[in-house]
Order: sequence, then C-alpha cells, then structure tokens
Amino acid sequence: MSSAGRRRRHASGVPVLLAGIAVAALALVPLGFVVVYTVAIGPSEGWELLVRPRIGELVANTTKLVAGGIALCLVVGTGCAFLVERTDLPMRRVWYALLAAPLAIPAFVNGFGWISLTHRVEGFAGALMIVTLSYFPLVYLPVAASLRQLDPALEEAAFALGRSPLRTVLTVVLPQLRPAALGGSLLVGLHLLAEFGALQMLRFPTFTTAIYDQYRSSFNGPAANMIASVLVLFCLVLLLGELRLRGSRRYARVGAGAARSAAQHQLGRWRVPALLGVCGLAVLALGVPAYSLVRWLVVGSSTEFPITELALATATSVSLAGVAAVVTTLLALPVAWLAVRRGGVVGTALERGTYLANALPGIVVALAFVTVAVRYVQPVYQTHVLLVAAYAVLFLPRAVVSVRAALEQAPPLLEDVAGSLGSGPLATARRVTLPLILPGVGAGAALVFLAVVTELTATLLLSPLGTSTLATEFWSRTSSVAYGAAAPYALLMIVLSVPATLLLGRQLRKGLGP
Amino acid sequence: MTSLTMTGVRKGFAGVPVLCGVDLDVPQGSITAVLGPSGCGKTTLLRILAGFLAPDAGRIAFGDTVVVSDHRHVPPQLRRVGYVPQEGALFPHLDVAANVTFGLPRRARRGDRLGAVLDLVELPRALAARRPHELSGGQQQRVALARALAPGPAVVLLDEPFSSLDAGLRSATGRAITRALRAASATAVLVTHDQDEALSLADQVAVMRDGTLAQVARPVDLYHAPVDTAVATFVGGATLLPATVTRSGDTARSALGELQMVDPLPPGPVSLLVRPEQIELVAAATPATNGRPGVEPAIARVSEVCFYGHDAAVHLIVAPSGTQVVARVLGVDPPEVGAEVRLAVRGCVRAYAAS
Repeated sequence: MSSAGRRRRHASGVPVLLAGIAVAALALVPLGFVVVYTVAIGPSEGWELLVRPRIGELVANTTKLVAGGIALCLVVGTGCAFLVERTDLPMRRVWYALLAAPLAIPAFVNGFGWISLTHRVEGFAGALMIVTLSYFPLVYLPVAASLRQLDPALEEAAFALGRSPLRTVLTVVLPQLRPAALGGSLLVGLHLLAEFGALQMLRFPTFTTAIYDQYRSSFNGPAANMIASVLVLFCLVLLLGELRLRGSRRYARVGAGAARSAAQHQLGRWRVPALLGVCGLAVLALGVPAYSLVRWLVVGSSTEFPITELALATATSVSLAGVAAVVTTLLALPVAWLAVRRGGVVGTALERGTYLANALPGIVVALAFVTVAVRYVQPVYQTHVLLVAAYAVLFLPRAVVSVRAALEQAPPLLEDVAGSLGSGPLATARRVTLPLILPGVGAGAALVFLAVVTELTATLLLSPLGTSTLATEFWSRTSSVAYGAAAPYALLMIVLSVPATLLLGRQLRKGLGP
Repeated sequence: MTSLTMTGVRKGFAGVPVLCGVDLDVPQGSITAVLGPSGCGKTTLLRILAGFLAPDAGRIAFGDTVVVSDHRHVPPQLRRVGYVPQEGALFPHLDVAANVTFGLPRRARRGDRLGAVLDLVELPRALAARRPHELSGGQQQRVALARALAPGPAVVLLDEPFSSLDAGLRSATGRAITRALRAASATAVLVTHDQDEALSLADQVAVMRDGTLAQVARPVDLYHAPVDTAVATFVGGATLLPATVTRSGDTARSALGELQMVDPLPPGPVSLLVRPEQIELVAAATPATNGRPGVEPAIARVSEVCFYGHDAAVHLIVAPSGTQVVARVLGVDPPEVGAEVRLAVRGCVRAYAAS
C-alpha cells in the first residue's frame, strides 16, 4: 500500500519533474549533437570523410586496444580478486588496498611516469600495458566485492555433489561473478575509448586522440565531428553488448539468513609465484610511476618549484572543481529523487538518460559543447560557465549514484513516522531527511570534485584562454618534454585524488554503478 | 486517550476497491486487533487512520474530534496518533533517547518523560545512549512503541509489529507491548495476519475480508461463535462436517454420529463446525460407557500424528464414510498411526446453512 501513499504525496511533484527533465536534456546535448550532425552531413559526404586509410588505421587501433585492454583487465582483475578474497595469500589486507591504489594515479600521469623513463613503451604493446595497469582495478574491485558476498553454501553444495575444487570454481563461482566482471569490463572499455592523455603520450593514435588532433589543426572541422560519431557508435556497441551478455538472469541469493564468509583455498606450492605476481603488478602499476615522479622531482635537470604558478594552478583547479561539484550535485538531486521516490518509466528513463552521457568520451562532450556554444549561445563560449556545464554532464552519473544511494537510506516510512509524531513537512525535512542524506550527497560532491581536478581532455578543449589548471599545466609541460617541470603538477593531482579513490573504491565494492 | 469510531470508510486505488465500507468502534483504553490475510486491506485501513492516506468516503472520529469527514482531512502531524510500523522504523541517525523524545516539544525532551516511557516498555534506561543498529529486533520494537507513546497520543496504531521477529521473541515482545499499552491505558489498533496474536493480545478482534469487516467480537466469542464457515476456518483449526438436521431440530446426523447443536434449526442439510479440541479419542477396545444414550460413537483410524510436545494434532479417517477430521489431544499419550479409535464429541456444535 505504500506505493499508493507515495503516489498521493508526490502528485504535487511537478516542479521536481520539470527540473529532472531539464537536467536530462542537458545531459543529452552531446548525444543529440552527434546524431543531428551525422544526419545533417548526409550519407555521401559522411562516407567520403570516413573511407580513408587513416580511419581504417584508427578503427584497427581502437578495436585492438579496447579488446586487448578489456581481456587483460579481466584476467588481471579477476585473478587478483580471487587471490585476495579466496586464498591464503600472505598480507591479504595490504594487497587488498594496494591493488585498488592505481585508481589514484590518472592514466596520463602513469603514462608520463613510463615514457619519461623509457621510450620503448611507445606503440601498441606499451599502450596496452599501461592502460591495463591503470584500469584493472575497475574489474578487480567489483569482482572482489562479488566474491565476498557469494554464499559459500553454493560451493559447499557443489563439493557435496562430488565436484572437484577446480571444477567448482569454474562451474559455480565464475558464472556468479559474471555481472560484476561484465560491469567492470564495460567501465574499462568506456574509459579506454575516452582515454586521451596516456595514448597521446605513448604515440598510439585512437579515435579520441585523432579527434583532438583534427580539432587542433582544423578547428571544429567536419572530420573531427564525423570521427566523434564513429566513436559514439563504438560506445553504444559496448553498452548494448554488456546489456545483452548480462541478459535477464538472476543471481540473487535465494533463502533467508546471513551468508557465512567463504572458505579459503590453500595456495600450497603456488604461494611464492602468486606473491611474486601481485608484487610485480604493484611495482609496475605503482612503483614505476612513483619512482619516476620522485626522480624528476629530485634530480631532474629542469626541476624548479615555481611556487606562484603552482599555487595559481592549484587554486584554479580547486575552485573550478568546487563550483562543478556543487552544480553537479544540485543537478543530480531532482534526477535521483525521481528515480527513488517516483520510480516507474519516467523516473528510470531520466536516470538512464544521465548515465548515457557518462558513456560518451570527454572529447565528444567537449566537442559538442564547443559547437553548440559557437552556434547557438555565443556569449558562453570561452567562459567558465561552459566548462562547468561540460563537467556537470560528464560527472553527473557519479553524483546521481551517490545521491540515489543516500535517498534510499531515507525511506518515506521514516517521514510518515515523523509526521505521526507531530512533525510538519519542513520540520521532517530538517530533522529526518536531510541528516540522513547529507553524508551521501557530500560523498557525491567529493567524487565530482576530485574527478574534475584530474580531468584533462574536456579542460584542454573548453578552458577559457588564460585559465590554467593543474592538468593543463602538466600537459603543456610534458608536451614540451619538460618532465621535471611537469612532475610537481602530477604530484599535486595524485595527492588531491587519493580521497576520491577511497570513496570510489567503496562504491565499486558495494556494486554501485560508475 | 479517547475512543475511536470509523463509519463507512471506503478507499480504492486506480479504480480497484480496497476498502468497501468499514465500520469499527474501538472503546477507550482497549486494544482491537484487525485480523486478515495479506492483501485484504488492513494496512490501508491503518494508513487511513494515521492520516497518510485520505479515504474516498467515510468518517473517522477520535473521541469527539472528527479527523476525517467529507469536508475535513486532518494531516497526520495534527492527529496525535502513535504509529508503530512493521520493522520499527527507528530513525537510524538518532540514538534511543532522541528517537523516543522525537515527538516531544523541545523543552520536554530533556525531562523525565524518556525514563518513564522506557520503564513502561520494560527497557533498561541504560539503553538510552544506544544507536538503533545496536539493539535486537525485539528491543527496536519496544523503542518504536516508546517513541509512539511518549507524546501521549490519542490512539496508537501498530502495523504487524511482531512479524519481523522470530517465533520465541514474538510472543514475549507481544505480551510486553500489550502490558505497556494497558499500563498507558492506550486505545490501540493492531493489524496482524497471525490469529494466535490477535486472539491472545486483543480485547476485540475484527476479521477483515475483501475490504470489509466480516465480524467484530471478543476473542472468545469469535472463536466459539464465528458468523460463517469462512471466519470459522480462518480463526483456529476447524473441521466442517456435512450433516442433516433431524426432525427434532436440535440435533444433526453426521459421520461422527448425532450431535447436539447450539441453536435449533429447521430440518435439512447443514455444515457443522467441530473444533479439534472438541473431539475425544477413546481406545476402540474400551466399551463406550460414557456416551449419551442412543448416540453411537464413531470408529476412526489414525492416519497422521503431528506431535508438538504439549499436545498433538491427530488426523483421523472416520469409517465407513472416509470423512477426515482432526482432533487435538494432550501430548501425554498420543495414539499411534494406524490405531483404531472411537470418537466422541464434547459439548454442542454450531451449524451453518450448507453452501
């Protein structure tokens, strides 16, 4: 009956609904731009722009990188998750944290760490290794969470039915990990399609780097826009593929009672090789970039500490990120409210609409905002307003996920109870709803803040002339091979993203969305 | 505390009627249980009483104060109802003390009311500083009741308050909560689907069926004089025996022999309500000396015995008709499966027109 009660209470929620629709419309600007552009350019001209040897190379490169990256991340991430959660690997708690830590190092900083040591990482093999090292935690964290929540009774039942431990893992455990592994793979794929900085540094051209180069050489040319359409197509293929593979199977725990924690597998003689494996991974993913950064900071010939410039860039980054965090969280509120309290087709559709933008690479979002601004809202072009709007669209899903989870902590029943205790709607909001959702809303804002601090692609395209952030300063210095001068900026970005990583790790572990 | 009266309350959702004219009187300071299967509309009834839902029609009064009529819908915060939902729904961000004093005016929150209500629900005052997640399920329910009682509500509404507790805790918490309600001389409406709970805790039981109240009666009257066979089988174990009323009009002939009826009826086919504890088992070998003259004891074979310790439910097949009946016997000496027994019926039985 509570659903009926909900309906009555939110019949007056028209303003919230309108706000939600407005937010979803903003989030769909980039996709709309791509679709409208592709239709407008017409098939024959589009064909001409696309059928070129250069495009063929980009398709091959992008496909290779995405397929290879997903496969490697799946193997490495699932393997690590299994070692940490289900075996007697020594110092498991330490490894658990260390293997999630690469998320704190932006991929382009990782790339910088490697390329500034050796140029042998240029090209496909190097790029594949570096993106895997940067993104495998996106598979590792949800799979580890899944393994922990898995009911050991299932495995015990398989043993009791006469299955060997290995066959049990293959036939009972792995299929259960499917949703987590697929979700993680999707995230990896979308990140790889969007990756710009690391690949540009490693001189491995994909659609994203090509769009950037086109944009730089022939501002807003049709070629860049056309490649963006193909990139969006790749994203949609990934999204649909994940939906299809996930299917409608249910993996919920059947039956009541709390699950016990699972039995540990004895590593035996595999103990030393396993330990060496995770050690090596940590060295490659964390040790090398850390060593490289420290080296450039300490001994690099071009090292200097231009305190004013550093402080200025930090202040710009922090204030931009602060404004973006507040704006994005405010925009997320009506969307999350509708999804949780209203539900149904409209609520879900609006929520999914904002997620779609997250699947689009930063370069596409930036390109769309540049074009739309130049054509229709000229006054905002080259302003911080446009940059913050792009940030909001890019990182809206992070805020929506957090706010949504927070709202779910505040069921309407609690508001009913407060009402029956004599508390009016305003007092109920102040005494019950707000205190319950504030931590989650704050976490969402923090996630957006820290994502903006390390955002590179959209910032490069959209920041007004004369605005320098940590990421753009770092980028301009590495582009002119001033590695020592770039290092302090990288360090500041890592320091600022550590709290975000802890938060993101917590969300991925809970099995929430991106 | 006041009495509660509802008349002609109707409510439908999207054209589907859920409540079709409910009339109920709850005397001041008494507990009424609304008993019904899930989906019968009892939670809707409770939410209407609390003010979370507005009925389509009807009138509700707490004492002399009308809270719902055609032109009036007093919002929940002005009704002075105490609401105890299913899982307690304690505010997770507040400790026990802040939960209990939530409904009190600011100045009264620091006073001695907190201790007094905690005493009332039999919780140690030391619990006041705990957070809800540090309490057991039973304790959470008691805190939820303390929170509802603290502002001195006109009526207390309890929505299946014990259904989330496990069996042992359920009856202990149920008794503690009714003790607290009686100590506060509260007027209370308790919604439940558990007949034992309704019969043992309430002063009055209202059986709800398809959006109306089929019967409102004291527990004893409800059990012994249900209005129809559906209520009879819903409340307690029951065997319905096809029978024919004899010419005298006060006995009926059935597979268990000729049984005395509570009220005389004209001759014709009827259904007799026989409660399991009315059927007595006598070993077949023993001559039936205590039967009434002219009444042949029926012979039956034991087909199944469910032993509960204190008593046992014995499933029997009556020869020669094959009619199945259930008898409840004390757990001291239950019969074996397959044994032949004689059956006798204790007391009078109630008859219903055969459907």
